[in-house]
Amino acid sequence: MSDTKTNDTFVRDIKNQKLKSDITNKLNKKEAKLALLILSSIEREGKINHQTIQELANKVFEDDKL
Amino acid sequence: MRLLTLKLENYRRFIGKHEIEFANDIEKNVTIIRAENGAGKTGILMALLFGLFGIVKYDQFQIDNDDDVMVSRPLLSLGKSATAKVEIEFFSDNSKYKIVREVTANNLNNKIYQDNANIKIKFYKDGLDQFSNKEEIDQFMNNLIGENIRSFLFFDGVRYMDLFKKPTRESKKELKKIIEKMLNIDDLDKTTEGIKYLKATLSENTNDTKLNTDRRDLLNKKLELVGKRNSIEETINEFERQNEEHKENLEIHEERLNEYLAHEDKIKELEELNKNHDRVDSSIKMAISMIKRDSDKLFTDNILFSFGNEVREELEKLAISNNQTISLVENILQSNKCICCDEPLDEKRRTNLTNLLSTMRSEEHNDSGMLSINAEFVLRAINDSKNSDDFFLEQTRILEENIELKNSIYNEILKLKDEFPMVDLERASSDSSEAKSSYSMVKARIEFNETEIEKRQKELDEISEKINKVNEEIEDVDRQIAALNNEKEKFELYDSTIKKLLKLKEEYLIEAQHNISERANEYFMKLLSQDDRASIRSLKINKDYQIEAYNNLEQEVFADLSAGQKLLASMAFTMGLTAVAANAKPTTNFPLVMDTPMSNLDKANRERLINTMPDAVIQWILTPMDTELTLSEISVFDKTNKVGKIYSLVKSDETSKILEHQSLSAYEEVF
Repeated sequence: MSDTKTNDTFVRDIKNQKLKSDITNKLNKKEAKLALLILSSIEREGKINHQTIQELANKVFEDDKL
Repeated sequence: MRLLTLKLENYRRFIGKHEIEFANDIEKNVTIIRAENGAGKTGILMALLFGLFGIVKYDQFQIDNDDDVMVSRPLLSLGKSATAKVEIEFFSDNSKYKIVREVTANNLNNKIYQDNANIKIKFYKDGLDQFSNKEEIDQFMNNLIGENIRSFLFFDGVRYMDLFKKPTRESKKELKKIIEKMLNIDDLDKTTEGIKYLKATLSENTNDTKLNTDRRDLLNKKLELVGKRNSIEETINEFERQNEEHKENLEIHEERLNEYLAHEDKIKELEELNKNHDRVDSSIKMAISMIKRDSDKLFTDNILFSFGNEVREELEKLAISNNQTISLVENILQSNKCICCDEPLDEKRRTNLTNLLSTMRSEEHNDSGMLSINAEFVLRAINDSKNSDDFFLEQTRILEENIELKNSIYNEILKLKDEFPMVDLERASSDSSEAKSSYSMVKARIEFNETEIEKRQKELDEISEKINKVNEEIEDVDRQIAALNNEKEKFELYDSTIKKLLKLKEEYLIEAQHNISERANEYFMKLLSQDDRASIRSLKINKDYQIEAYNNLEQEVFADLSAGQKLLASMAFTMGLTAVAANAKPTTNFPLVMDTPMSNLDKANRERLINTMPDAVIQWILTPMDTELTLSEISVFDKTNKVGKIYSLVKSDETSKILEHQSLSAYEEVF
């Protein structure tokens, strides 16, 4: 048995890579953008920051209008 | 990750300092901590949870709230305080870590207060202080062993038996929760939760009927106003068009007037001459008329004059005689005496004289009187006839003068006209008054129209202002509608994203169920006896999070399994879950701590468990009850040659001690 690197960060990275890939493939462009931005903010901050996700959502809509 | 040591100081039943060293060798990875009930087995597990993760509440264990107090109670007599310390060393990613937590409690009025808000913590990596604050340490530990895996680190046989044994709604829900945690889809859940929050922030009132009605009303109002405006504009245009025409006419009239004004003096002179001419002509006509009238009289007068001179004397006499007679009679009547006898007149004579006088005075009945009057008239006529001649001569003279004047004026007119042969002065003169009149009229019309235009313009301005207001209102409503549509768009996006993320999660769960079933089945088959394997073909978790076991005939037989088989099934599932959670094959890469793992297993099953587990996990720490670790189990453990450390917890009143045994045989000797 070996103590390979399977800590939570690693697992999380693996899982979220798959999650991001699935979000990109299974949601439409706008939905995926919204979900990925929020997911990234949660990864970054470790929690749901209402203000951040509100800003990100607004950004999705603003970008869409451009 | 592998646990190295656990050091306790004044922790629960363990007053003073105690230490457990875990078997962490690859060949010998089993640590046995044997204890009888109440000796502190569960305390050891809680110390691990507290030390590693700072967990102070133990929902996982069915304990009283009082057991949340970690500081040894015997040290907390009235008014006293004490500190519990837990120190854990572990190995991960080629580094050695040490984490130390201390918590203080005190006894106030026989009530214990533990200061969980001020737990002291220290963290070392390879002997060096690693982090300065709790958050960083928690973050590190969370990354090392996520919450999704923690629950599998500590296998509570009783709890898992309950979980898998009773397919209740709660147990299914809990199993689902465990699998969700295991899947590490927290971030997916948080993302979904975040979008749900966004959706919840949107106004629930997405009904735009009122706004659309308002908009329609405003548009109708605007349409009406625009109609009015157009009508007024048309009117103004019509006035302006008329004025253009009028102004063109005015120009013509002005031209004519200017033409008139250019020869105004001459035209006035001509007019004056014409007037004089007419006046003279009129005088001539009158003179002619009078001459004509008087010519007859003149002729009569001439005759009368010639004749009158011959009869004048007689006529004068006649006139005198009659008058004398009247005077005589009047005197006689007045004197009342007869002219011949001087005697008074008698009545008869007087009457006769009176009648005679009356008759003489009467023109109709007294020829003499008549004659006298006519004579006088004739005499006057004769006298006047001289004057007639003079008057006639005068009239003739005037006539001659006027004719001469007229000719003179006429000559002047001709002369004037000859001076301006290119201008029809007479026509200009006659047109000028018409031009003046037309000019004034047109000008008045233009002024009228301009006044009307001004009035209409005011109305137009008012209506335009109203239209602007309505436009503003429409814009406002449009903005509201746009905002609403924007909200709708957001709502729809959030909603569809949430649905797809939930679907994604569902797909993950289904996939996880499949994988867990597959892995659990592998472990289950290893744990089952050969005879059992012949009858039980597979184990799986169905979509309702219920464990199912199938026999060779593909019949579901989980309910028919023995208690021991069910425990093995729950262990297999736990290991399957852990394996999937850790995404590792074929072993889990963190320690598996099992509390009373063999209580419900028979001898054969215990033997298979003991033979299977050391190779299935990186480190196996088990806390069996004394009844689970009989000579028989010790013998099996001994044969596996996997047991590296063996301890027993010995209780005495309120305290316990940890005894280490050098080997299984040494342990065997003690018990």
